[in-house]
Amino acid sequence: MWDVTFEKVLRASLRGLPDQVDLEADALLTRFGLDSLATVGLIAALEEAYAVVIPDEAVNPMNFRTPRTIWTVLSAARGEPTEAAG
Amino acid sequence: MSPGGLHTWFLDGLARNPHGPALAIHGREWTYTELHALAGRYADRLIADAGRPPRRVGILAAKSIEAYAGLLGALYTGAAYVPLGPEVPLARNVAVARSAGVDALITDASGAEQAACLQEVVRDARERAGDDGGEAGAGSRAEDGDGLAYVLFTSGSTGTPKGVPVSHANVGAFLRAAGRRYDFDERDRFSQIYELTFDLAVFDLFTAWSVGACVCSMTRLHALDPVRAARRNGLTVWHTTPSLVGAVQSRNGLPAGGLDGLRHSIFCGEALPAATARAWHRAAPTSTIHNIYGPTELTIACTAHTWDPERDPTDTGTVPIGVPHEGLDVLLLGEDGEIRQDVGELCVTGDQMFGGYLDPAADTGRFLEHDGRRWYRTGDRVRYERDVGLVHLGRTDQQIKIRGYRVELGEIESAVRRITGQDATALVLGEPAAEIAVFVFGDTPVDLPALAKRLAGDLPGYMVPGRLWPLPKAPLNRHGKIDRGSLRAAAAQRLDRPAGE
Repeated sequence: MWDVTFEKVLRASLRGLPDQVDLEADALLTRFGLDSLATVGLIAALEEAYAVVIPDEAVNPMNFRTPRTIWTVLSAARGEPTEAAG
Repeated sequence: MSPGGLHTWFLDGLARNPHGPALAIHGREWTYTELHALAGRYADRLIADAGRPPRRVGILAAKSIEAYAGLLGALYTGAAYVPLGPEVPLARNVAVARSAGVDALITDASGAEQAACLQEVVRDARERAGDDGGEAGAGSRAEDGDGLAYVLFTSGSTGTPKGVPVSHANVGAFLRAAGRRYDFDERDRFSQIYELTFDLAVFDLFTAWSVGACVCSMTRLHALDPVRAARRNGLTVWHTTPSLVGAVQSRNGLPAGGLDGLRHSIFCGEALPAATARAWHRAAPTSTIHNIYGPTELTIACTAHTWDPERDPTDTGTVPIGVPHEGLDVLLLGEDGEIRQDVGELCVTGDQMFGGYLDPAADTGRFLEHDGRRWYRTGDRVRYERDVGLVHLGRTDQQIKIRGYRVELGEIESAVRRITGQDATALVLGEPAAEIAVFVFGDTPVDLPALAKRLAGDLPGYMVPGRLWPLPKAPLNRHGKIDRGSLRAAAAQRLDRPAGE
């Protein structure tokens, strides 16, 4: 579903996710330590890694719940159609 | 509609800047003319829906266009608005709506879940009003034509929310004082970070709207990256709690000069540590820093201090709260009930003072009769200094006796701030075997043994904390203030004891 960069950037924001544990598309990320501060850091890191701007209206806790929702926001910011769930 | 009502301050902005932006929200800007028209439609709908003008309009909405236009529309009908946070537990919202006599409701998508239950409260209020000819809200002192602008609820130390009715005259007095103090104009763009259940949101909305400026609504996620938020929104005025800045600092989010577009930065809601002011000043070197103070009962803010980076005069490690607004009188009440010139509980009277709680029983002990006038007792201990005005020392209800000694938690926090340059919160644990614990906030490692030694030298023995715990960041409540309850729970967990008062 997502690329290597995404996995790397996201994992760096998840203090509570051990390296050997897989990142599941629908895992609730608050469980792995993604609080509001970490989310803000993640947004900045994604914007830098992909050289995109995530619009302010997309910066909303609901959009940063799971890897899937974040990937959807990022894909939209990159002007790509959202990939089907899978 | 009462003359000089809160909405007329918006109409001033409309007259001044009709085609300029009044509100930026969710990636779109609403001009004064557009927002006025939308608010007018809400007003019409409220009246049509109830068959007559409502008296108390509940705003069951997040910071959405529905909420902003809805609260303006409520004011257009002559009603007072009562903000109900959709994230607040249903039972509390129902209790608040009942005691305020909410007889009409505005909701957005986020309020949908609770709307059905709150509509029942509305139906009850309307039936009661039909029965007794217009009165609503059991136990309420409010009457028709009472001139209220909004009713907010404070948590209160006992946990029972207390309704604070604030009149158009109260807010008008505040807005006139703000108009004299600040040079805001229609080119300004204000942050709007506070939840609408907090009266500091009224500062954002109506000081901006009264001059034709733009209110930029943002969530906590936006606010935690002030550099990005300021750049995207072209902000010139920033307004938050100091704790939010502490959180930003903990992620190194305040690069030097990163906020160079700001003209004014306003901090309120809790003590402003001098270290926070310095960090903010490095990031926003062209911005004037204002520390403002005031309980909801005295309408938004009643004292203000302009911080001088060249001068850091207090020994408390915090920025002074400064001088009272024009039109307000203050006095300091000693513990013996005598009026003091130096240190005491701050009491305030004047045109920003509310008339009393929704439930008159809550007034007990909160007012002082002196010199033929009624004064509001803030519960804040302050010291008067000739050159800076008032310096906040702590809460009177945080004065706790340990082994017979009077302990002022604010003094312990001040000592830690002075030594470490980092913010701190002190708690008393495990009564009756009382013990003082201090959380020191920040990512900078604290030399705990050295701090303990310094504290033992600076504080009387009975005030020296037995526990010092570093914490990367302070837990914040939904109003962006330090959450003492969750610190208490964290302390209990560390001691492996059940949490409790």
